Amino acid sequence: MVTLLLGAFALLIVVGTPIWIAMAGSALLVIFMEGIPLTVAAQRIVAGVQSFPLLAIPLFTLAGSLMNASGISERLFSFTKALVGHIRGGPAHTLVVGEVFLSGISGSSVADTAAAARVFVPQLEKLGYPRAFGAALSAVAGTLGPIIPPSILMVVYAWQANISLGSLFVAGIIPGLVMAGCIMATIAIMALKRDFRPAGTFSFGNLWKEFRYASLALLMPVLIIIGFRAGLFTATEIAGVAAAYSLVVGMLIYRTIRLADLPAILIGTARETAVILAIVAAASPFSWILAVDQAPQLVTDFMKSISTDPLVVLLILNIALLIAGMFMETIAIMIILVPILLPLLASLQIDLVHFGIVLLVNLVIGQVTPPVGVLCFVAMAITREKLGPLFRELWPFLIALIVALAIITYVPALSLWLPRVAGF
Amino acid sequence: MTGLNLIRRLDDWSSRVEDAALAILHAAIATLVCAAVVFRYVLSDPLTWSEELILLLFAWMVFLGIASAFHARTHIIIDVIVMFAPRWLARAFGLLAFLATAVVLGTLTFFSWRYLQREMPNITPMLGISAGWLIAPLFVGSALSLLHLLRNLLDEGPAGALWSDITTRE
Repeated sequence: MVTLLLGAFALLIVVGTPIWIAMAGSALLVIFMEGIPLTVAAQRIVAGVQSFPLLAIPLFTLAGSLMNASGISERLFSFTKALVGHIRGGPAHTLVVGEVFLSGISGSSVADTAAAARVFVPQLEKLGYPRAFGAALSAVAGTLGPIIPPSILMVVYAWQANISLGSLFVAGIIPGLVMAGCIMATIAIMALKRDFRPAGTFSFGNLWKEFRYASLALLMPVLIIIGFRAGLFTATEIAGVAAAYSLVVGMLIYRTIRLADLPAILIGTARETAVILAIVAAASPFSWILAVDQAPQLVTDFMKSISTDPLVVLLILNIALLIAGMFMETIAIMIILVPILLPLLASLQIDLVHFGIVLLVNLVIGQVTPPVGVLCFVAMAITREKLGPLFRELWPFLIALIVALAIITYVPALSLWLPRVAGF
Repeated sequence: MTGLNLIRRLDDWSSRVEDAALAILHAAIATLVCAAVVFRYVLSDPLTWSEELILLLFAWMVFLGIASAFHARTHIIIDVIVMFAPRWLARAFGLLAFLATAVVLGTLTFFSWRYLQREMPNITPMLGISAGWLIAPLFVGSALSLLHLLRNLLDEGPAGALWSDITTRE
C-alpha cells in the first residue's frame, strides 16, 4: 500500500500536478485498489479542516497582510537603517535586522522576502551593492520569517505534534536571532574584502523618530506573546485579536488602509489559506493510509536499528530533511513527515518543541536551496535577477545558515531556555 | 461556439461570486472569533454556538478558496522538472497533470455528493442544522474547481490550465 501510495504521489508531483491533488489522488488510488468505499476519502478530507487551531492560519496571515498594506515594511526598514545603517556594510545589515522585525509581524517567509526585495534591494543597488547580492540576501533573510513568531508553519506543527503553540512561538525567538547573527557575521566578513559602504550617519533623534512610528507595529508580536503567557486565550483567539489590532492600527492610526482596500486583502489571505489548507486536508486520507500501513513504526524501527543516540538520530534527520527540503515544498514535507516521526521522537525522548525548531530551520533552508528554493524564485522575480549570479552570492549565506542549524540542533537550550524562564 | 462561451460566462460569474464569498466569509470568521473573545472574557457569557459556526464558515472559505486558486492558478506545484524538461516533454507532462487533476476533482465531486446525501439526515450538535452543510463545501468547491480547470483549458491549453508564470505564484 505504502509503495503504491508513494509511487503514485511521486509520479503526480513530477508531471506537475498541484501537491494537494497529488496527495489526494494517490490516496484515492490506494483506497480504490483496497476496495474501501471512496466516500471514506471525502469524509477524511472534510474532517481534515474541521479543526479550530488551524483557524489561526488565516487570522495570523490576515494580521500580517493588514500590517503590510499599512506600509509598515517601508517604515521598519527606515527604522533599522537609522539603527545600523551607519556601520560598515550597514545597508546589508539593515535588511537583515529589518527582516527580524518584519518576521515578528508576518507569518510567512515568502511575504517577507518579497517585501525586502521590493523595498530594499533598489536602495542597496543605489549605494553600489550588486543587485544579485541584494536578491540573495533578501531570499536568505526571508528564512527568518517562519522561525521568529508568529509563524504559520509553527501553527501547523504545534497542531500536528499537539504541543503548546505559545511555547513553540517563544522557543523560536533565540534560534531566529542566532540565524540572523550568522547571516550578519557573513556580511561582516564579506565587508572586509568588498566595497560595502555605510549609509547615513547615526543620530538619536532620527532613531527615536523612526522608532516611534514603527513601535505600534512592533508592539504586535509583544502582545501576541503576552496573550499566550496569560494562558487564558486559545491561539486562534490571539490570532483574531492580532488581526483586529492590525486593522485598527492600519485604518485609524496610520490611516494608510481604506475601507475599499479590505476586500482585496481578505480575498488574498483567504486564497493563501486555502492553498495551504488544501494540502492539510488532502494529507488527511494520505496520512491515514501511512498510519494504517504502520509506516511510523517502520521508520522508528529502521532509525533505531542505526542508532539510539538522540544526537546521531538528529544528525541523520537533519541531513534527510535538508535533502527533502531541496526537492519538496515545506508544508507538504511537514504534513507527511511529522506524523511518521512523532513515535520515533517520543521513544528517544527528544523534546518536541526543540525538534519543531530544528525541523523548521531545516525546512526554511530548503526554501533557499536550488532546485526548489521558493524564496530564490520570489527574489529573482521581483529583482529581475538571474539564478546564476544570485547563487554565486547565495552560497556563503547557505553555509552560515547550516552553521546556525548545527548550533540550534546541538544546543537545545537555545530553543528551550526562553520558554522555561518565560513560564510556558 | 455558444457552448464554450457559456462555460466562459459561467466561469466569470462564479469567480466573482467566489471572491465576494471569500471576502465575506473571512471577515465573518475574524469578527466572530473576536466577538467570542469579548463575550467569553469581557461579558463572561460565552457564545456556545460560535465555534461550530466558525468551523462551518471556515470549511466554506477553504473549499471556495481552493476553487478560486484554480482560477488564479496559484496552487503549489513543484515545477523544476517541467521547467528544465524539453518542450515536448513539458507538454506531455502538462497533459498528464491536467488529466490527473480532472480525474481527482471529478472523483471528489462525485463521492462528496454521495457522502453529502448520506449525512443529510444527521443534525449537528450545537447549531441543529443538517450535517450536509459541513460536507457541501467539498462538493461545491470540487465542482467549481473543475469548472475553472475547464475554462483554463479552453483559454490556455492543457499545460496552461494548471501552471502560470512563477511571478504570480506565491
